[in-house]
Amino acid sequence: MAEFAPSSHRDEAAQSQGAGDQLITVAARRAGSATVLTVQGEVDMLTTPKLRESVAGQLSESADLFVLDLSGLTFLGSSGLAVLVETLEETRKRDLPLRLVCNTREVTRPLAATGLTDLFDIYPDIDAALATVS
Amino acid sequence: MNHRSAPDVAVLPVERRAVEMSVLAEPMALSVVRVVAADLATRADFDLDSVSDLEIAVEEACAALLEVALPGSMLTCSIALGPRGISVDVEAHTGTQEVLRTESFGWRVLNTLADGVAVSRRTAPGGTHATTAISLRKNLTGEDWVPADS
Repeated sequence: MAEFAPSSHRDEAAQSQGAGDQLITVAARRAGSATVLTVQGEVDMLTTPKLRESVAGQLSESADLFVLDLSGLTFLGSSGLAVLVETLEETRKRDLPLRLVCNTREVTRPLAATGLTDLFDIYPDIDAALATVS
Repeated sequence: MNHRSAPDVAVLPVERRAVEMSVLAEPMALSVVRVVAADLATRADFDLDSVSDLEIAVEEACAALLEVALPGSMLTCSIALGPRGISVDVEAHTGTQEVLRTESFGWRVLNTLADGVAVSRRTAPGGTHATTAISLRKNLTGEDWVPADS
């Protein structure tokens, strides 16, 4: 997907292990004209490839809004942060609004500590993300 | 967090608080290193934001080393907890010319979240391989601590 893929060759290493699937679940659904991708578990070096792949798959579907629900994450490492930045760049290219749902320290702290919070449109819960129309 | 005195572990001499572990230099094995570091920091009364920062920094240090580690090698990690902070050293066998990628997004994150990061490399006798090490430090809130040997 995006040219900005700082962890891509790590992905290959992680995928060659063929593991980590039990540490993360990614589920996509439609909510009206929005795509909602709900991610749960740990987004670390091992599981990031699955998240990246899921996001890429969902971005290829047409929608008016892309919501990433991160409220069920228990860890978000730098490889996961990189996927969020890539996703932002990719949605901007497509003129597709991106909204993040996060309300836990496991997600808000990494975003804040790396200065990424202000880049994103962040909502405390899924209803708020879907109810507000910009 | 709170104002009670630090747990007993924080008044032991540094050398008695060291944890050492060795894991396969593979993605599967890395989570244990960050989880142990985070657990130690939590028990030492680091605030939760600092624990989160440390956990991400440790994962990134391990990931950076993993990229250059020789196939089948081990990643060795030692963690020392002092009264003013925690230091985490990770090292692995690499090629003698191997260079860590310090221009990456992940490396910037590591340097942002840790209070100090240092890289060193020493070549094994005979020049068959090198040992590349990343040392990082996270201070307890309000502590401006630089280890004597850095």
